[in-house]
Amino acid sequence: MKMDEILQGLTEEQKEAAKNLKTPEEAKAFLKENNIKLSEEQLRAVSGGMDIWSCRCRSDVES
Amino acid sequence: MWSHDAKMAAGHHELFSLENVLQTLLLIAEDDGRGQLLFGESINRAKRLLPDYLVGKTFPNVYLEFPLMGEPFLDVSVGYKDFPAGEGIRAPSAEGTQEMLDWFSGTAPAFPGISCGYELDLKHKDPSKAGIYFHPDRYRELVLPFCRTIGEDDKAQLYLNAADRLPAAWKPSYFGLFRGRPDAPFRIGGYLSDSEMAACVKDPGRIHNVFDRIGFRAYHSEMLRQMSELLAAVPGYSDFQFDVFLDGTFGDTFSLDVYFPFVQPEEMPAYFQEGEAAKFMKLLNCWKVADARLVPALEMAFEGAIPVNEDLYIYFLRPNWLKVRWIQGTLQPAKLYVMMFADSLTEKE
Repeated sequence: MKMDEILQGLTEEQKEAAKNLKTPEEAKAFLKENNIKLSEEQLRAVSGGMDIWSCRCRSDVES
Repeated sequence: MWSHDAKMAAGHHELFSLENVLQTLLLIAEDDGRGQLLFGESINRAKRLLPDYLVGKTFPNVYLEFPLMGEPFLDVSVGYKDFPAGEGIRAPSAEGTQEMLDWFSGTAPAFPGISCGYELDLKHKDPSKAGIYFHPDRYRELVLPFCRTIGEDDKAQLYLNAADRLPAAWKPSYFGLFRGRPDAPFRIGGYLSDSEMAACVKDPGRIHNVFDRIGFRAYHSEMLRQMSELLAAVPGYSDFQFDVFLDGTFGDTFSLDVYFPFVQPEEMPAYFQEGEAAKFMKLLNCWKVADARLVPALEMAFEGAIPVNEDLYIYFLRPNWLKVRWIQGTLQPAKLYVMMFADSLTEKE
C-alpha cells in the first residue's frame, strides 16, 4: 500500500491524536494502539537496504 | 524526506528529535515486561548514555545485543553509514575518536558499503571507552588509514595478514577492537557465500582445513559437526568471527552469526516455530544455548508509524541475527541482535 493510501485510511481521530503527541511514552502508546502497517518495500526504502535487511553487507560476496 | 524545519513547523520537533525517537524505540523494546527479563539494569544505562551517540538528522543503525541464557544484560552498537562533516560524538566514552569521525565523514561518500561505529558494553557499569567497529567491506586500502585515526596502526597489519591467510571464501569484511588494550583480542569477521555454506555442510572437513590453514586450534570434531548442522539450518545468511592477538595468533573463540530474512512482525512466531527457521530453533533448544526468553525476545519485533501532516514517521525493531559462539570448542549461550531504526517515509518510496 502506498503512503497516500495509508494516510487516507486513517481516521480523523487517529490524525488528531497523532498531532497531540508530545512525549516518547505517548508516541509508544500511539504506535502500539494504532498498528499502522507498512510494506516490506517501504521498510526497505526507509532503512536504506544493505546491511539492515540482506546482511550480505560485503558487496563482492556472492549470494 | 521532510526537512527537520518542516517537522518543527508541524509542531512535532520534540517528538521527532533523535533522542525522543531513541527513547520511544527503547520503550517499545522493554515493553510487556521484556526490560528486566532480557536486559536487566543495563537498559537504564542505555537510555542514559545512548543519546550522546546521536548526531545530525539521521537516526543511526542501533543494535541491541543480549544473551538468551544466564544473567540478563544489554550491550549496544551504534553504526553510521555516513557522518555529518564537522560533527562529533559528545559522549566521554567516545573521547579520542574525532579524527576517526572526520576521516570517515570525508571517506564514506566515495566507498559505498563501508560503515563505522561504537560498541558499548553496558553489563556492569558505564563504559570508560567504547569499542570501535569498522566495516571496510572489500576496500583493503582503507584499513590502515582508519586504524591510524585511532592510534591503532598495528591492528591494520593484523587484519591484512589474517585476510591473506584466510581462503578466498572466508575473506574478512569488518573488525572490532578496544582502544588502548593491547591484551584484548582484535575481532575480525566476514560473510560466507551460499556456496561456501553448502560446501561446509556437505563436508565439515572443509572447515577443518580452513582452521588448520590459519592456525586456529581451539576446536574439535564435535564443534565441526555442530557448525555443519548450524550452517545447514541457517534460514538466511551467515558470517563468522575470529579473535586475533598482536602476535598474529588466533584466540580460542569462534562465532557464527545466523541472519534472518525479512519477516513481518506478526509472522515471526510461526516463522520460527513452523517455518524456515524451525530447524534452526530446534538446534538451539537441543544444544541448550537459549532458554525460554527467546520467545519474548522475538516478540520484540515491531513496526509502526505516526502520521505527521502528509508524511509517515516510521519506527521499527527487528531481530536481525543470532550469534552462536564456541570457546575452546564448547558452545556458549547464544546472543540475539535486534536492530532499531526510524525515519520519515516521504520521497523514499
